[in-house]
Amino acid sequence: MHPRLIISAFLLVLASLVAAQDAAGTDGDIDQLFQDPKDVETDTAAKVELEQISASNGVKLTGGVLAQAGVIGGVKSWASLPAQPDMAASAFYKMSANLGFDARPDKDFRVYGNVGAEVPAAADSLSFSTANINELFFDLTLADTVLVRAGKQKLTLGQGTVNLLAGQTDDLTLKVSMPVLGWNLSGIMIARNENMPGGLEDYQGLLYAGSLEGSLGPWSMGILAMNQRYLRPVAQIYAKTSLAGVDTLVSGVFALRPDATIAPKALVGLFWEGLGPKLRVTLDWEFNGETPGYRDHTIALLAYMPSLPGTNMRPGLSWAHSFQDNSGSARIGVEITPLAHVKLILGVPVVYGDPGTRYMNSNSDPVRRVLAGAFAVEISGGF
Amino acid sequence: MFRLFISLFVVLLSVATLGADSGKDLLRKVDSLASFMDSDFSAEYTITQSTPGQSVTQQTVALFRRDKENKYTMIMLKPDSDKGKGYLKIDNNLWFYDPKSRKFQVTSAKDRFQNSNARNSDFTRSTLADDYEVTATAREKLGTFDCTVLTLESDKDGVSFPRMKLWVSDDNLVRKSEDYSLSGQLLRTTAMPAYQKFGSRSVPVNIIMIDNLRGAKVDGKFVNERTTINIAKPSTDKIPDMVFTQAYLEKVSR
Repeated sequence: MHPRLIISAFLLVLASLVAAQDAAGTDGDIDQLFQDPKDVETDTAAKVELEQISASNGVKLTGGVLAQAGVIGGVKSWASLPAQPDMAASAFYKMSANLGFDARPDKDFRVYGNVGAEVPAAADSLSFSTANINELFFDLTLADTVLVRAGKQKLTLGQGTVNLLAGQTDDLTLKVSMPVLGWNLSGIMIARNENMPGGLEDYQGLLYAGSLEGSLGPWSMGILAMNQRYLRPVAQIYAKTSLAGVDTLVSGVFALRPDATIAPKALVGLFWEGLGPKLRVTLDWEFNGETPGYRDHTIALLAYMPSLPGTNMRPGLSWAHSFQDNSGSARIGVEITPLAHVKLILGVPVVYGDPGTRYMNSNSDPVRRVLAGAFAVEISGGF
Repeated sequence: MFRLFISLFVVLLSVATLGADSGKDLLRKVDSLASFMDSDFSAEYTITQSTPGQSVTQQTVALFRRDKENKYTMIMLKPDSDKGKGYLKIDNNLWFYDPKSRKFQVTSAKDRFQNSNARNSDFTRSTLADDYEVTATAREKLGTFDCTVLTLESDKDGVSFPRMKLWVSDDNLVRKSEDYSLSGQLLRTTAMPAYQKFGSRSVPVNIIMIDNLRGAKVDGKFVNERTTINIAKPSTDKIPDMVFTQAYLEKVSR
């Protein structure tokens, strides 16, 4: 027999033995547990008290601060490349701070508030803005069934990228939620200064919204709607399920035009989490039927790793593309956390398309660079 | 000779069918003991995750089950940074409420719970008899327990594992299980050595889960990831309907 064959066979047997030993170790550990097990009687009076979940002693204070500063440099026009690149470089900064309280004297009542101030990134000033009430509301639970939340509150209504209440929740909001036949029914009423300059006398300016969400077989689904006299009535219908490990959203959004015709939109969203929970990928497709020609399709991809195994890095990329005008934007970047509360951010933002196209118009860079490299340091903390 | 073969074949087929039938009956008894169809169920679960080479993490959750309506709600109690985060499962749909975005996300019941070796499906009622077919039965000694070992297979998409082996002691309680992939790869081993009795019902004192794939070498030996779940304060008292709603997750979030 050839010596190489003997050595290979020996290594194979050795590997099998090592593998068997590992496996035996695992099974052995488990089976040891059954050598002297004892079933026991337990105290039947002890149980999880709802009070311990929804009530707390005293007032809990919360707060946080975030400061970011960096530099960005790049090209302002694709046409200037490669002969005479039209370059621009600048520095940026922002800072924000907030302070909140949360009081839950009993399981049925809660008061929450949060104020904040900021030095905004786009402002020329280095001064903090006046402190602003971000949220201030109370929760009241009636008969262990109905939840009433009233005051200024952060509120979204919609699935996927849709929020029927975008830009509408800056003033007084009332939300009432309750279970109905196993589904969740919510009613929302919003009073905004902008729509009701005369206060309650202008009650016709109230915004009304509602949702009914629940479960049917493997699908979770819902219907959501919003109406206000100065806005177009809008409704969203959606269904979500998990297909072969991919969370899938199918949705239609319908806005009523003044001429009583419907402006439809369609959305399909996919979310996949893989490699354990190490990689998350979101893919959205959106069709806007309001644009003439029915060519307004957009796709958006987001992929990131919450943490790169064995490192303190968090890489990610995003890409959005409009098939209507072939414009788009992309960003690839990495966040590094070398120390607690300190984050280094490296990014390469790209915007492409002809002048006047969707993503060229919505370029958030004040200098409108189309290809850039950015570096920022962020310090944040909370309590 | 041909008749003898036919007779032998029929006898073998009968024995196999009998084994599958009695196995299915046993599965129904297992489901009956592990489910709460005539009352609600609540308990406090402390989940300890040991990942070799990394620090041990611990979380405590309050679990509320209403098995007859196929619902459960889980609210995080510890650590403080996660307190108030919650899951709601109705039928096959699992919602997670994100207090930051104030939005509900739908996630798969097959997913791991909070990156532990437990699956979200481990916290719900037992539906083994509906989900699996018994392909073999055997008798085996497991420590001090005389057990029936059931080999199970499922072609249903919703199950967490397509193949399983269950060790069921003579009091119809599951003492050990092995979860396999479709190709026969051992993925997870679970032990429930001791049960606690409260009233006329029983639940495990603790559940030990070994991830047979994930782990790391420590001092030259491969050590598997391990999750231990301790169950305390089991109760069958009635739970308010509101606990099984999205509004409740919104209410307790912090």
